Amino acid sequence: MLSIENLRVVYHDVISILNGISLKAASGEISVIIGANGAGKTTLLRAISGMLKMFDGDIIEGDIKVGDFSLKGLDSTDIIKKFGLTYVMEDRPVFWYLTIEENLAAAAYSRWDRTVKADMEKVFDYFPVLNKLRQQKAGYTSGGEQQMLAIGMFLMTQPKILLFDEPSLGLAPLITEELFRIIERLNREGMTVVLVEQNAHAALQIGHRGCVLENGRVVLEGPAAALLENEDVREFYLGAGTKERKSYQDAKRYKRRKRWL
Amino acid sequence: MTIITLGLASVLRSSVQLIFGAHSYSFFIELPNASLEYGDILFPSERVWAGGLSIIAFALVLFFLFRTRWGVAIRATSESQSKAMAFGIDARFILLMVWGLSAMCIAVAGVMISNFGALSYLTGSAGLRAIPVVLIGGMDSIGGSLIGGLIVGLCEALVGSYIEPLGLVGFKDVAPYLLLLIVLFIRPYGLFGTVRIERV
Repeated sequence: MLSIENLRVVYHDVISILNGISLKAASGEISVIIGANGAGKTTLLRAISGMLKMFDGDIIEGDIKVGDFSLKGLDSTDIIKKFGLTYVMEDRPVFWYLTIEENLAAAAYSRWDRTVKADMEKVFDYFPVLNKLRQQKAGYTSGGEQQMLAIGMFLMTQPKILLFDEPSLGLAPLITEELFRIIERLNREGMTVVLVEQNAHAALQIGHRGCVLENGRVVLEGPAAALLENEDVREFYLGAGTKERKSYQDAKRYKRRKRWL
Repeated sequence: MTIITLGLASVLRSSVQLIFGAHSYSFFIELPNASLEYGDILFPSERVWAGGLSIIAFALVLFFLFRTRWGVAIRATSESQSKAMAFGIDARFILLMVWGLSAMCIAVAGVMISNFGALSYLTGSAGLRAIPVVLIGGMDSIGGSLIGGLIVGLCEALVGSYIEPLGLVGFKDVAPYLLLLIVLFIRPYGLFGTVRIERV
């Protein structure tokens, strides 16, 4: 169980991004986080995975826990080793100048056991596309292949919890669908998943629970199915609200937002 | 880190001067004679040793970078620190390791250079010659630095024996930088700088 308690995060000591977020991601479930740009989704994932320092961010209040252990102040390397919590960054975090095999080896850097080779073969079994490209530089492969490589690299860290930032970014709908199937499969095999997505519809369909982030706050939380039905979510995030067409002038988002808070 | 290194260099230089004095010591390592002679050309023994050892060091570095787990991690970190951190590579440790590795290479080079003759607190300034070598070869190309070294060495030697006698004393030390200027005009990444991967 991953729980976040009243988390507040600032960048450069002044820019407040998360203003007190509390969330729970139950083990073995897919939790979906949706929200507009700048709502703080990526920052939340960075805070959980211990990457905030890298971006000059700071947790000024609140706590992040896996079970009973606090992740606060730990380095990303420690978090990966101790808790098996790996963050797959947005925009396909593969190393362009390394070959596919080297990418997987780099991701296994924190491990010292003898099963690295076997795990690598497992990844190639999982993604047969990559098998043909083993010696290819990752920068020359397609976006879909890179995202699969990113998942493969994630698997090389022996994870239990997956934080996935926008898997569908810049990918064709068909590939996105395939990716979501892979995430579902990982989840069925016991992986806890926290998924940040702009493609809210697809994400909520595979998710168990969902929450909506706005201006660094959780404004709505509930079972994914309930969110899919929710009027406001439908209008703002799924693009299918009221029947008749509205002009932007009439939309008055700010008034409707107020009702949530 | 670069600035810290430069600062450390001047601290070390001054402390060496304080402890050992500003005069030079003679310094020779007893090595088997390996001088080569081809017709008119003579390669003195210590230069042959220096060349051989630098090739060995070069091979070791290459092996380390391309065949070990740390090498992969170094190349990953050099591409993106944040990505490397996200996959559990301790970027700070890697930076320190690279720093130590370069210090080791420099130590080998320093011993070899002092073996050419005198050892004094100013021997370290020979390291400045690495700047045109690396820039001409291309900052991110490993083979490039080898070729760049040969180019700069040849340039210095030729200028030293053919142009300096014309009355341009000290031109030998300037020539590599002129060459560097020309190379940078034509190829800003250096002769063998990696082609950037760009997705269209």
